[in-house]
Amino acid sequence: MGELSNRIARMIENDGSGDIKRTMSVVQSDIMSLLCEFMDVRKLDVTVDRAQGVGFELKISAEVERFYGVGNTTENE
Amino acid sequence: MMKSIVVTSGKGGVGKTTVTACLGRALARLGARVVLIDADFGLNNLDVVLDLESRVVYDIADVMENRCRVRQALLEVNVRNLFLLPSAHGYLGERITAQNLKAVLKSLSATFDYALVDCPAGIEAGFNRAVGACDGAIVVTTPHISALRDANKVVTLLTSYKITPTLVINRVRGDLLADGKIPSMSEIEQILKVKVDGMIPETDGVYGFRSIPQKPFDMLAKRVHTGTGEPFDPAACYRGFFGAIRRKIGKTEY
Repeated sequence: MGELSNRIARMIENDGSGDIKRTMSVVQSDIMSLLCEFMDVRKLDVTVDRAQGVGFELKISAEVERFYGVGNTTENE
Repeated sequence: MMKSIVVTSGKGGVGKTTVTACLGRALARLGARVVLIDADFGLNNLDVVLDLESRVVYDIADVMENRCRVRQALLEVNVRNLFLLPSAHGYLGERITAQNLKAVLKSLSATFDYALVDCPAGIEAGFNRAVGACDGAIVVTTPHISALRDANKVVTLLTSYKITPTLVINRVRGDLLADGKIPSMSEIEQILKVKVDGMIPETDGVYGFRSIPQKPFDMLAKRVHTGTGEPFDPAACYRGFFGAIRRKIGKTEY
Protein backbone atom coordinates (compact mmCIF):
# COMPACT_ATOMS: atom_id res chain seq x y z
CA MET A 1 0.00 0.00 0.00
CA GLY A 2 1.17 3.52 -0.71
CA GLU A 3 2.08 6.11 1.88
CA LEU A 4 -1.32 7.81 1.67
CA SER A 5 -3.15 4.51 2.02
CA ASN A 6 -1.02 3.63 5.06
CA ARG A 7 -1.86 6.98 6.62
CA ILE A 8 -5.58 6.39 6.03
CA ALA A 9 -5.35 2.87 7.46
CA ARG A 10 -3.54 4.18 10.57
CA MET A 11 -6.09 6.94 11.04
CA ILE A 12 -9.01 4.54 10.79
CA GLU A 13 -7.33 2.13 13.22
CA ASN A 14 -6.74 5.00 15.69
CA ASP A 15 -10.36 6.10 15.33
CA GLY A 16 -11.51 2.58 16.22
CA SER A 17 -9.06 2.20 19.12
CA GLY A 18 -9.99 5.64 20.40
CA ASP A 19 -13.68 4.77 20.36
CA ILE A 20 -13.00 1.57 22.34
CA LYS A 21 -10.82 3.45 24.83
CA ARG A 22 -13.52 6.08 25.43
CA THR A 23 -16.18 3.40 25.81
CA MET A 24 -14.07 1.41 28.27
CA SER A 25 -13.41 4.54 30.34
CA VAL A 26 -17.17 4.97 30.78
CA VAL A 27 -17.67 1.24 31.39
CA GLN A 28 -14.94 1.14 34.04
CA SER A 29 -16.41 4.16 35.80
CA ASP A 30 -19.92 2.63 35.82
CA ILE A 31 -18.67 -0.77 37.02
CA MET A 32 -16.72 0.91 39.81
CA SER A 33 -19.83 2.87 40.90
CA LEU A 34 -21.93 -0.30 40.96
CA LEU A 35 -19.40 -2.39 42.88
CA CYS A 36 -18.74 0.36 45.43
CA GLU A 37 -22.39 0.19 46.49
CA PHE A 38 -21.80 -3.29 47.85
CA MET A 39 -18.11 -3.64 48.62
CA ASP A 40 -14.92 -1.81 49.42
CA VAL A 41 -13.03 -1.92 46.13
CA ARG A 42 -9.32 -1.19 46.29
CA LYS A 43 -8.46 -1.72 42.66
CA LEU A 44 -10.41 -2.36 39.44
CA ASP A 45 -8.96 -3.48 36.15
CA VAL A 46 -10.98 -3.72 32.92
CA THR A 47 -9.11 -4.84 29.82
CA VAL A 48 -10.19 -5.46 26.24
CA ASP A 49 -8.40 -7.75 23.85
CA ARG A 50 -9.25 -9.07 20.41
CA ALA A 51 -10.74 -12.53 20.77
CA GLN A 52 -9.71 -15.41 18.54
CA GLY A 53 -11.79 -15.07 15.44
CA VAL A 54 -14.40 -12.33 15.65
CA GLY A 55 -15.17 -10.01 18.57
CA PHE A 56 -13.48 -8.94 21.76
CA GLU A 57 -12.62 -10.45 25.12
CA LEU A 58 -13.48 -8.26 28.10
CA LYS A 59 -11.78 -9.08 31.41
CA ILE A 60 -12.82 -7.48 34.68
CA SER A 61 -10.85 -8.03 37.87
CA ALA A 62 -11.16 -6.25 41.18
CA GLU A 63 -9.38 -6.31 44.53
CA VAL A 64 -12.01 -6.12 47.25
CA GLU A 65 -11.14 -5.34 50.88
CA ARG A 66 -14.54 -6.36 52.28
CA PHE A 67 -18.23 -6.65 51.53
CA TYR A 68 -20.45 -4.11 53.26
CA GLY A 69 -22.95 -5.44 55.82
CA VAL A 70 -21.44 -8.93 55.82
CA GLY A 71 -20.12 -10.39 59.07
CA ASN A 72 -17.14 -12.65 59.53
CA THR A 73 -16.92 -15.47 57.02
CA THR A 74 -14.73 -18.53 56.67
CA GLU A 75 -11.49 -17.98 54.76
CA ASN A 76 -12.58 -19.44 51.43
CA GLU A 77 -16.00 -18.08 50.46
CA MET B 1 -39.90 -8.14 -3.79
CA MET B 2 -38.65 -4.56 -3.91
CA LYS B 3 -35.11 -3.88 -2.71
CA SER B 4 -34.78 -0.64 -0.77
CA ILE B 5 -31.26 0.78 -0.87
CA VAL B 6 -30.18 3.89 1.00
CA VAL B 7 -27.46 5.94 -0.69
CA THR B 8 -25.46 7.54 2.08
CA SER B 9 -22.01 8.90 2.75
CA GLY B 10 -21.65 10.76 6.02
CA LYS B 11 -19.59 13.49 4.41
CA GLY B 12 -21.52 16.03 2.36
CA GLY B 13 -20.76 16.94 -1.22
CA VAL B 14 -19.35 13.59 -2.33
CA GLY B 15 -22.12 13.00 -4.87
CA LYS B 16 -24.89 11.01 -3.15
CA THR B 17 -27.69 12.73 -5.08
CA THR B 18 -25.88 12.40 -8.40
CA VAL B 19 -25.11 8.73 -7.77
CA THR B 20 -28.74 8.11 -6.74
CA ALA B 21 -30.06 9.73 -9.92
CA CYS B 22 -27.56 8.11 -12.29
CA LEU B 23 -27.74 4.66 -10.70
CA GLY B 24 -31.52 4.85 -10.88
CA ARG B 25 -31.31 5.70 -14.56
CA ALA B 26 -28.91 2.83 -15.20
CA LEU B 27 -31.08 0.30 -13.35
CA ALA B 28 -34.12 1.49 -15.32
CA ARG B 29 -32.16 0.99 -18.57
CA LEU B 30 -31.59 -2.62 -17.46
CA GLY B 31 -35.35 -3.05 -17.35
CA ALA B 32 -35.96 -2.68 -13.62
CA ARG B 33 -38.74 -0.46 -12.30
CA VAL B 34 -37.05 2.10 -10.06
CA VAL B 35 -38.34 4.76 -7.69
CA LEU B 36 -36.01 7.43 -6.34
CA ILE B 37 -36.96 8.83 -2.93
CA ASP B 38 -35.45 12.04 -1.65
CA ALA B 39 -35.11 11.64 2.13
CA ASP B 40 -33.18 14.88 2.56
CA PHE B 41 -36.06 16.90 4.01
CA GLY B 42 -35.59 20.62 3.77
CA LEU B 43 -32.41 20.53 1.68
CA ASN B 44 -33.77 18.35 -1.10
CA ASN B 45 -32.05 18.37 -4.48
CA LEU B 46 -33.01 15.18 -6.29
CA ASP B 47 -35.84 16.95 -8.12
CA VAL B 48 -33.40 19.66 -9.25
CA VAL B 49 -30.79 17.15 -10.48
CA LEU B 50 -33.50 15.36 -12.50
CA ASP B 51 -34.87 18.66 -13.92
CA LEU B 52 -38.25 18.04 -12.31
CA GLU B 53 -38.44 20.83 -9.72
CA SER B 54 -41.12 22.72 -11.64
CA ARG B 55 -43.35 19.64 -11.92
CA VAL B 56 -43.65 18.80 -8.23
CA VAL B 57 -47.26 18.92 -7.05
CA TYR B 58 -47.34 16.47 -4.16
CA ASP B 59 -44.38 15.31 -2.10
CA ILE B 60 -43.58 12.65 0.48
CA ALA B 61 -45.00 14.76 3.31
CA ASP B 62 -48.37 14.86 1.51
CA VAL B 63 -48.25 11.07 1.21
CA MET B 64 -47.36 10.55 4.87
CA GLU B 65 -50.08 12.93 6.05
CA ASN B 66 -52.69 11.34 3.75
CA ARG B 67 -53.28 14.40 1.61
CA CYS B 68 -52.74 12.27 -1.50
CA ARG B 69 -52.09 8.69 -2.55
CA VAL B 70 -48.49 7.71 -3.15
CA ARG B 71 -49.04 7.19 -6.88
CA GLN B 72 -50.27 10.80 -7.19
CA ALA B 73 -46.99 12.07 -5.80
CA LEU B 74 -44.78 10.08 -8.18
CA LEU B 75 -43.15 11.95 -11.06
CA GLU B 76 -41.97 10.07 -14.12
CA VAL B 77 -38.45 10.98 -15.17
CA ASN B 78 -37.85 11.09 -18.93
CA VAL B 79 -36.35 7.60 -18.67
CA ARG B 80 -38.68 4.64 -18.98
CA ASN B 81 -39.42 2.87 -15.65
CA LEU B 82 -37.84 5.61 -13.53
CA PHE B 83 -39.89 7.62 -11.07
CA LEU B 84 -39.24 10.19 -8.38
CA LEU B 85 -41.02 10.65 -5.07
CA PRO B 86 -40.04 14.24 -4.21
CA SER B 87 -38.94 15.32 -0.79
CA ALA B 88 -40.86 17.67 1.44
CA HIS B 89 -39.87 21.27 0.86
CA GLY B 90 -40.11 22.41 4.44
CA TYR B 91 -38.13 21.13 7.37
CA LEU B 92 -40.21 18.49 9.16
CA GLY B 93 -37.97 17.78 12.15
CA GLU B 94 -39.03 14.87 14.28
CA ARG B 95 -42.43 14.58 12.65
CA ILE B 96 -41.21 11.96 10.21
CA THR B 97 -39.81 8.70 11.57
CA ALA B 98 -38.19 5.66 10.02
CA GLN B 99 -41.51 3.85 10.46
CA ASN B 100 -43.28 6.50 8.37
CA LEU B 101 -40.70 6.12 5.62
CA LYS B 102 -40.89 2.34 5.85
CA ALA B 103 -44.67 2.49 5.41
CA VAL B 104 -44.23 4.54 2.22
CA LEU B 105 -41.69 2.02 0.93
CA LYS B 106 -44.09 -0.81 1.71
CA SER B 107 -46.85 0.89 -0.29
CA LEU B 108 -44.47 1.04 -3.28
CA SER B 109 -43.11 -2.47 -2.96
CA ALA B 110 -45.68 -4.12 -5.20
CA THR B 111 -44.98 -1.74 -8.07
CA PHE B 112 -41.22 -1.35 -8.12
CA ASP B 113 -38.10 -3.51 -8.17
CA TYR B 114 -35.80 -0.95 -6.57
CA ALA B 115 -36.23 2.02 -4.26
CA LEU B 116 -33.14 4.20 -4.01
CA VAL B 117 -33.33 6.51 -1.00
CA ASP B 118 -31.15 9.62 -1.16
CA CYS B 119 -29.95 10.11 2.42
CA PRO B 120 -29.06 13.49 3.93
CA ALA B 121 -25.44 14.17 4.84
CA GLY B 122 -24.28 13.51 8.39
CA ILE B 123 -25.06 10.76 10.86
CA GLU B 124 -27.84 12.44 12.80
CA ALA B 125 -31.64 11.99 12.78
CA GLY B 126 -32.00 12.16 9.00
CA PHE B 127 -29.41 9.45 8.50
CA ASN B 128 -31.03 7.18 11.10
CA ARG B 129 -34.47 7.78 9.59
CA ALA B 130 -33.35 6.81 6.08
CA VAL B 131 -31.17 3.87 7.10
CA GLY B 132 -33.77 2.49 9.52
CA ALA B 133 -36.29 2.18 6.68
CA CYS B 134 -34.06 0.36 4.16
CA ASP B 135 -32.70 -3.15 3.62
CA GLY B 136 -29.43 -2.33 1.90
CA ALA B 137 -26.97 0.51 1.62
CA ILE B 138 -24.50 2.05 -0.77
CA VAL B 139 -21.87 4.29 0.79
CA VAL B 140 -20.60 6.98 -1.55
CA THR B 141 -17.15 8.35 -0.95
CA THR B 142 -14.35 10.06 -2.80
CA PRO B 143 -10.68 8.98 -2.64
CA HIS B 144 -9.88 11.89 -0.33
CA ILE B 145 -8.64 11.18 3.15
CA SER B 146 -11.45 12.98 5.02
CA ALA B 147 -14.16 11.33 2.93
CA LEU B 148 -12.68 7.86 3.51
CA ARG B 149 -12.48 8.49 7.24
CA ASP B 150 -16.16 9.49 7.34
CA ALA B 151 -17.11 6.55 5.12
CA ASN B 152 -15.46 4.21 7.62
CA LYS B 153 -17.60 5.66 10.43
CA VAL B 154 -20.75 5.28 8.35
CA VAL B 155 -19.90 1.66 7.51
CA THR B 156 -19.50 0.97 11.24
CA LEU B 157 -22.87 2.58 11.98
CA LEU B 158 -24.55 0.57 9.23
CA THR B 159 -23.36 -2.71 10.75
CA SER B 160 -25.32 -1.80 13.89
CA TYR B 161 -28.40 -1.77 11.63
CA LYS B 162 -27.38 -5.26 10.39
CA ILE B 163 -26.76 -3.82 6.92
CA THR B 164 -23.69 -4.83 4.92
CA PRO B 165 -23.01 -1.89 2.62
CA THR B 166 -21.07 -1.67 -0.59
CA LEU B 167 -18.95 1.25 -1.66
CA VAL B 168 -19.05 3.60 -4.62
CA ILE B 169 -15.95 5.73 -5.06
CA ASN B 170 -16.95 8.92 -6.82
CA ARG B 171 -14.95 11.68 -8.47
CA VAL B 172 -11.90 9.53 -9.14
CA ARG B 173 -9.12 11.26 -11.07
CA GLY B 174 -7.92 8.56 -13.42
CA ASP B 175 -4.55 10.19 -13.97
CA LEU B 176 -3.84 10.37 -10.24
CA LEU B 177 -4.98 6.78 -9.84
CA ALA B 178 -2.66 5.61 -12.61
CA ASP B 179 0.21 7.51 -10.96
CA GLY B 180 -0.55 5.91 -7.58
CA LYS B 181 -1.18 9.29 -5.96
CA ILE B 182 -4.59 8.27 -4.61
CA PRO B 183 -5.58 4.94 -3.04
CA SER B 184 -6.63 2.23 -5.50
CA MET B 185 -9.86 0.25 -5.34
CA SER B 186 -8.17 -2.78 -3.76
CA GLU B 187 -6.42 -0.60 -1.14
CA ILE B 188 -9.72 1.05 -0.19
CA GLU B 189 -11.38 -2.37 0.05
CA GLN B 190 -8.55 -3.53 2.29
CA ILE B 191 -8.68 -0.45 4.55
CA LEU B 192 -12.45 -0.14 4.93
CA LYS B 193 -13.14 -3.91 4.65
CA VAL B 194 -16.05 -3.17 2.31
CA LYS B 195 -16.59 -4.37 -1.26
CA VAL B 196 -16.36 -1.66 -3.93
CA ASP B 197 -19.15 -1.90 -6.48
CA GLY B 198 -18.48 1.23 -8.47
CA MET B 199 -15.77 3.70 -9.46
CA ILE B 200 -17.04 6.92 -11.02
CA PRO B 201 -14.55 9.18 -12.74
CA GLU B 202 -14.24 12.89 -12.16
CA THR B 203 -15.73 14.65 -15.13
CA ASP B 204 -14.62 18.22 -15.57
CA GLY B 205 -16.92 20.59 -17.37
CA VAL B 206 -19.99 18.38 -16.94
CA TYR B 207 -23.03 20.13 -15.61
CA GLY B 208 -26.37 18.39 -15.53
CA PHE B 209 -27.79 14.92 -15.19
CA ARG B 210 -28.11 14.29 -18.92
CA SER B 211 -24.45 14.94 -19.71
CA ILE B 212 -22.96 12.69 -17.03
CA PRO B 213 -21.25 9.67 -18.70
CA GLN B 214 -23.44 6.60 -18.40
CA LYS B 215 -20.91 3.79 -18.77
CA PRO B 216 -19.56 3.83 -15.16
CA PHE B 217 -23.11 3.80 -13.81
CA ASP B 218 -24.18 1.06 -16.23
CA MET B 219 -21.37 -1.11 -14.85
CA LEU B 220 -22.38 -0.22 -11.28
CA ALA B 221 -26.02 -1.05 -12.03
CA LYS B 222 -25.00 -4.42 -13.45
CA ARG B 223 -23.17 -5.26 -10.23
CA VAL B 224 -26.10 -4.10 -8.10
CA HIS B 225 -28.70 -5.93 -10.23
CA THR B 226 -26.89 -9.17 -11.08
CA GLY B 227 -23.86 -9.24 -8.76
CA THR B 228 -21.57 -9.76 -11.75
CA GLY B 229 -19.15 -7.61 -13.67
CA GLU B 230 -16.34 -5.34 -12.56
CA PRO B 231 -16.40 -1.67 -11.53
CA PHE B 232 -15.36 0.89 -14.11
CA ASP B 233 -11.62 1.58 -14.10
CA PRO B 234 -11.02 5.34 -14.43
CA ALA B 235 -7.27 4.75 -14.78
CA ALA B 236 -7.56 2.38 -17.75
CA CYS B 237 -7.13 5.11 -20.35
CA TYR B 238 -4.12 6.51 -18.49
CA ARG B 239 -2.04 3.35 -18.55
CA GLY B 240 0.40 2.30 -21.19
CA PHE B 241 2.11 4.44 -23.83
CA PHE B 242 -0.93 6.41 -24.96
CA GLY B 243 -2.07 6.71 -21.36
CA ALA B 244 1.20 8.38 -20.46
CA ILE B 245 0.67 10.86 -23.29
CA ARG B 246 -2.84 11.59 -22.04
CA ARG B 247 -1.47 12.22 -18.55
CA LYS B 248 1.04 14.64 -20.03
CA ILE B 249 -1.47 16.65 -22.01
CA GLY B 250 -4.22 16.41 -19.37
CA LYS B 251 -6.78 14.85 -21.72
CA THR B 252 -9.72 12.93 -20.23
CA GLU B 253 -11.80 10.57 -22.29
CA TYR B 254 -14.58 8.31 -21.08
